[in-house]
Amino acid sequence: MNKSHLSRCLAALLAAMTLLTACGGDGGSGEQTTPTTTAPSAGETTASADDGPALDAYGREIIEADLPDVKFEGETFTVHTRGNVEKYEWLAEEVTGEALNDAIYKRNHTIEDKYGITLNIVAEGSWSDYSSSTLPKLQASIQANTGEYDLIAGYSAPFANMATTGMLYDLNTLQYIDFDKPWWWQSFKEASAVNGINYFGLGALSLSAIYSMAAVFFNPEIMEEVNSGVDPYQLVLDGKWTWDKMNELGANAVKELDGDNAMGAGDRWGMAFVNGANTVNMYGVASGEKLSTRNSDDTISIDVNVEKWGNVIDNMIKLINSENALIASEGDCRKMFINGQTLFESSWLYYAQTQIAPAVEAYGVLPVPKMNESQESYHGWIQGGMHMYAIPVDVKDVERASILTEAFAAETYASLLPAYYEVILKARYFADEASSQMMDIMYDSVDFDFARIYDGQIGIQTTIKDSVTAKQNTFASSFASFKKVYDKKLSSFLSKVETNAG
Amino acid sequence: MMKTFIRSALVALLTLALVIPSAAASVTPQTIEAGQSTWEINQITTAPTLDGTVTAGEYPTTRRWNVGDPGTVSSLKEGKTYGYVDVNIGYDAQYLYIGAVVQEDTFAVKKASGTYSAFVFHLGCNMKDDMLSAQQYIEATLAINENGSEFGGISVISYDENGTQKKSWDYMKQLNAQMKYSRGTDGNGKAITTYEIFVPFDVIKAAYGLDKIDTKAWFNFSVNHRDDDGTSNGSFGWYNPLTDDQQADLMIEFNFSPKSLYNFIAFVGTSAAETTAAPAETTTAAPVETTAAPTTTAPAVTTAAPAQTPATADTGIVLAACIAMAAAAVLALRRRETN
Repeated sequence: MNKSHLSRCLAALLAAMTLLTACGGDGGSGEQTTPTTTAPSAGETTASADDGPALDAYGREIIEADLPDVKFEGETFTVHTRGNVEKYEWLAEEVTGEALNDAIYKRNHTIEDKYGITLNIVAEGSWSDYSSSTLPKLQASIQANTGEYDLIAGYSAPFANMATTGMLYDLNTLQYIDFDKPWWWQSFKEASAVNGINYFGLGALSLSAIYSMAAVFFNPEIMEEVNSGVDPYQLVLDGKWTWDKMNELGANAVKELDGDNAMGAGDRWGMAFVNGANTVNMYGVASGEKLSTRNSDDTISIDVNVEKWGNVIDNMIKLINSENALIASEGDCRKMFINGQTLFESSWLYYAQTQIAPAVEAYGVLPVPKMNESQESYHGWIQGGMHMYAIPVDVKDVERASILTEAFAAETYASLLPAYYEVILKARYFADEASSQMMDIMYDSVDFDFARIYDGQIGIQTTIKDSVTAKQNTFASSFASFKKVYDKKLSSFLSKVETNAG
Repeated sequence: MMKTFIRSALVALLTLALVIPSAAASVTPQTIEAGQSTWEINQITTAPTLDGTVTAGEYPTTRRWNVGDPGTVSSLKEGKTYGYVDVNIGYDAQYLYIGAVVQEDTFAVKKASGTYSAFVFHLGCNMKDDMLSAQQYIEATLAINENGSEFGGISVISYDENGTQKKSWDYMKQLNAQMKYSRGTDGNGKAITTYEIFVPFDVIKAAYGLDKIDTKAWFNFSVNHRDDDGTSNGSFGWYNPLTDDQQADLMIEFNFSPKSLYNFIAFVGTSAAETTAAPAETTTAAPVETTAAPTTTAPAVTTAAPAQTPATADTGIVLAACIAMAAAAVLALRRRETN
């Protein structure tokens, strides 16, 4: 998706946001009416200033999906999605006055009405049992040729395994899936292709990809108190938002509060990092170093620059174990940030949406910093909780599935994504206009890497994580030991894909 | 002339087979020759009393582990430590008897869910030399809460060929049936926690479909330390970490590898009554500090060399084939000479 239009039309956006803020928050009557509190639909257009293409209310060129004018009267379109987070992507049973819910409701009904279908959402499984329960169940259903599901929103980390099964359509072969449209994430399409096949699509449909984006939250009150005059947003824009800078600003926030003369859970910290792989992954990606290379002939190699990665790991060990940093469980990090005991918390947007926003009056969001100023750009990580979309090979009518998938994606881009991304995240949750630019930077800098998308098959992320968590940089020797394993696993993975590809 | 030539060729062939088989054979990683230690444990004549204490002579084999001892692994943070861990152990046809005594000044685990101490051990009885067999074991967490309540969580664990763990609690009731713990002091007035458990071999055999218990079993233990806020302060235990190279070799061979493999206990036939080593004293005195189990023969703890050299089945096959060829050729020659 191209977000540059959004950035160019900030004025239109702000005007729209003002309008939406004025309209929003009046609660819902509970009646099944067309929501009036959501973002303007794609139909609301503004003329471009230079008689160019018509723009929508968010300043984006209006692009229509190239789909036939058809009706599937009375038919049901079934989407399988991971449970307990489905409400952020598919589930909205009635208008409630809550902007995201109502935007989903409207999107669903727009497509249902346009194509004469009934949308059926099957939401099951959670992150903890997706591999052991949900995925085997899906596979059994496809193998049995039940035609039960038309579209699958799969939990990306384990769902990537489906690439080896031959149970999914190559989306490139489906007439109505158009990856050139802005509702598909091109960089993901390129990074995730296996032997030229794209089993998975990622884009506007995957709101989970946006809420799974890594971010650094900051407490503006503490910032003002201990780093008065420092504008973190400007640091980002100036390219000076780095690991050292975050540590330096964080150092000023460290304060012994509970009187026990030892830093602990009762004190104030400069930075909070969740112990475990996610922190290592988000900072590893932020360094800009890749784990795999797509060669000119489209083959993949696990080509790691050992020297550069060694440097990244050294710096990561230094940052995470800084005396200004608290390393704790996810829950404890969140609790301390909400309690005002942390200046910076490294996390992802899901927690802003679900926990921090309701509990904290003001907070800021920043991209994960660059390793150093010489690094050209920011690099954003999306953790494995996102949904990748796929169409199973046993689908009853693949043409219909591709039409409706594309239709839902286009409508999500037109109406739901702005509601979620521009309104929910910017105007409502992030009560801070500057974070709009931060969001644009985060979105535009998302970095996909074949070896990370298919880490379940290759496993290189673990080697980096182990080096960092052990606080001993043994990456060079470990990589030398495990290189043959990665190569074998990659070869085996590609071979299975090739064998099972339809 | 011809005979001489054939004999010479045979000698050369045999010599070649003896000298170079390691170069010809592929290196097959071994799960049971990965550098583990083996601790010999003795058979018991009279079953210990299950009362949560360990008395002198109650167990035929005892060994003390201190943090920093060779073969132990510790990730304990500075200032967080254990005085010692004594494992008293014995077996008979029905049970493996374990009485673990841990010197710890306070309950070592402090979490929101409660303050307690715990002793964790793993016992695996499938001694086939492959990864799936090595990853079949019971995982026992024995815990005593500060309010005196006891908890024993014992699961039956196995892995599939992709390295995915499968955990079952189906046998928990049977495995939990005989265990008792207590807090007390040792002979030096130091606080100790004692965990006693009798593990029935029949349950393990049933859980893993084993016909019999081998003369060796996988075994490890660990004790974990957590702070008031639940932060991990590391652990201390007896197991066998694998090098990156070993893990990589095992991954190539078996598709997955743990970061460590357990050590071994070896069931020796010597009865407790026949041993000459001093028996353990009392639970109120510090247990006998030994580095080897009390046997009268060779040192009880041995360490197998890591499987760097390919003393493998491949080598054996090559040798056997060469010898068979040589024998057949000699027989043929004799027949010709006879004729």
